[in-house]
Amino acid sequence: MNKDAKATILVVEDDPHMRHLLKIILEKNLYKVIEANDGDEALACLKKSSDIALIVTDIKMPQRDGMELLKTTVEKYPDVKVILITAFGEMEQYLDAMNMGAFEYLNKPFKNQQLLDMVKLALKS
Amino acid sequence: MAFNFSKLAMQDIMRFSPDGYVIFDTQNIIHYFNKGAEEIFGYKAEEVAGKPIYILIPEDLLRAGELERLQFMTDKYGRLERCCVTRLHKNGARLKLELTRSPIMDEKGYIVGYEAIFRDITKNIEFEKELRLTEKIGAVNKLVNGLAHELGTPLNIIHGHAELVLGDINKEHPHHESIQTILSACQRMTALIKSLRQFASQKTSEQKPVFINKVIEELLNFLRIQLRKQKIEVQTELSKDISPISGDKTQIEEIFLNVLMNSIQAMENGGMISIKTLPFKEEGMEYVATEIADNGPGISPDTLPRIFEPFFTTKEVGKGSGLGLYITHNLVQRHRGRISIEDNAGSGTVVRIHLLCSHSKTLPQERAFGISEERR
Repeated sequence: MNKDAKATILVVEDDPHMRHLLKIILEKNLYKVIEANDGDEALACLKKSSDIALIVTDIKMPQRDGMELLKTTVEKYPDVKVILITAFGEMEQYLDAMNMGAFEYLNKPFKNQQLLDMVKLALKS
Repeated sequence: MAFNFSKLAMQDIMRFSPDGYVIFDTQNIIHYFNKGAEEIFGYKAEEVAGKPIYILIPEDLLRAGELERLQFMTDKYGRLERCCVTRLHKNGARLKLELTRSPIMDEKGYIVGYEAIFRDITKNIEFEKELRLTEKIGAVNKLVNGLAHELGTPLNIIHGHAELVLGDINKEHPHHESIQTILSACQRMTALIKSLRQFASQKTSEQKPVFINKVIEELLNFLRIQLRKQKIEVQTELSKDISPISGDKTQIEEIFLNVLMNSIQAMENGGMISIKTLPFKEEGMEYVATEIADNGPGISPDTLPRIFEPFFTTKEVGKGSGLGLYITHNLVQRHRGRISIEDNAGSGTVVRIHLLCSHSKTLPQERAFGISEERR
């Protein structure tokens, strides 16, 4: 199915249905998925498991949001790539995210394949 | 006898006051019309002297009894203070005046006429209206953005799961068509929300220097994955000699993004986009000229004249709102620029955009690349 598979991806999203969707899409393509409900939980996961290669995170979340998570990840875990997801995002926010070191920025609603293409690229680079 | 300075001062105040001052008799004939009144109404004093004040009042109001009403109020209260009235400029425009009207009496206390002091508040009222409109637009914008944001996630959940199901069943499956209908309904909703957001974001905006080359470079970076995926090569020739333009950066980005997205969508099987910027001078004004050419299928000659019309689209139902280029055109005009689209000698399309540079200047939205694109 997917020869890049088996990489571990941390999915951070506060909406359980959306998080579940991301998990299914990625697991169907043989990625290993760890789930977190918000930025704080995500940081705890990063601390615990060293095999996380990529974070796919929503921007708007309670507690620590996606932008803060991005900032901390870039500082503390520079090898981990970050893909940000937002609903109908703004150009300015996109530029901020890219300048802060995000790998990419994906707008909801997206096609499953769009996410997979992006994940593949992120893991390759 | 001592010179009457105070009388002279009074006369001068009346004559030169920026406020209008008019005296008319009980027969409504104008006897005095100061400089302020001349400026407000556009008439010279000698033009109106001896004429009835009807000439200064819109006919519909006269017929509705405006003059009698004011007369009645003045007589009843002795003086009418700072009331807002509508009057007629010499050129036919309606003016809003703040007017104070008092009777003039002779020695015996009989009313012989009236004096009116007034100022033009038309501009203040327009300004206030504009302010209120801006506030309203701001509220609508907030609402639409909030709504779009809240709808994005559930829409994604529906679409994503429908895609997963579709991937697991074959065309003969009894629910295959239903799932496809769900997907296309999601796409229509996405296009609709995007159009709403584009409309809502058409607000008056801050004007700042914007560097077109930078905008193009940032957009290409933004689109790089899509470009790579569709095997579209991009060549740029960005002149270093161009000055910044004055405008709203988000709107400028919207202009170029819409044009680029059209090219990208037109070349599903790969192709090339070339982007050039250069300085351009015309009638003493300096512009930044941008040319975006692609080698896609081009635009048919019968479509070309309608390309900037709202709701005109050549895309499938539900895929395009027909607002992309319409909005682009509006945004270019708002920046006192111009845009033209031509067939690139039978092999693609050329879009030329001219935007005025900031030092030539006197005048004073949404990105979502989700499921479907509504741009032409």
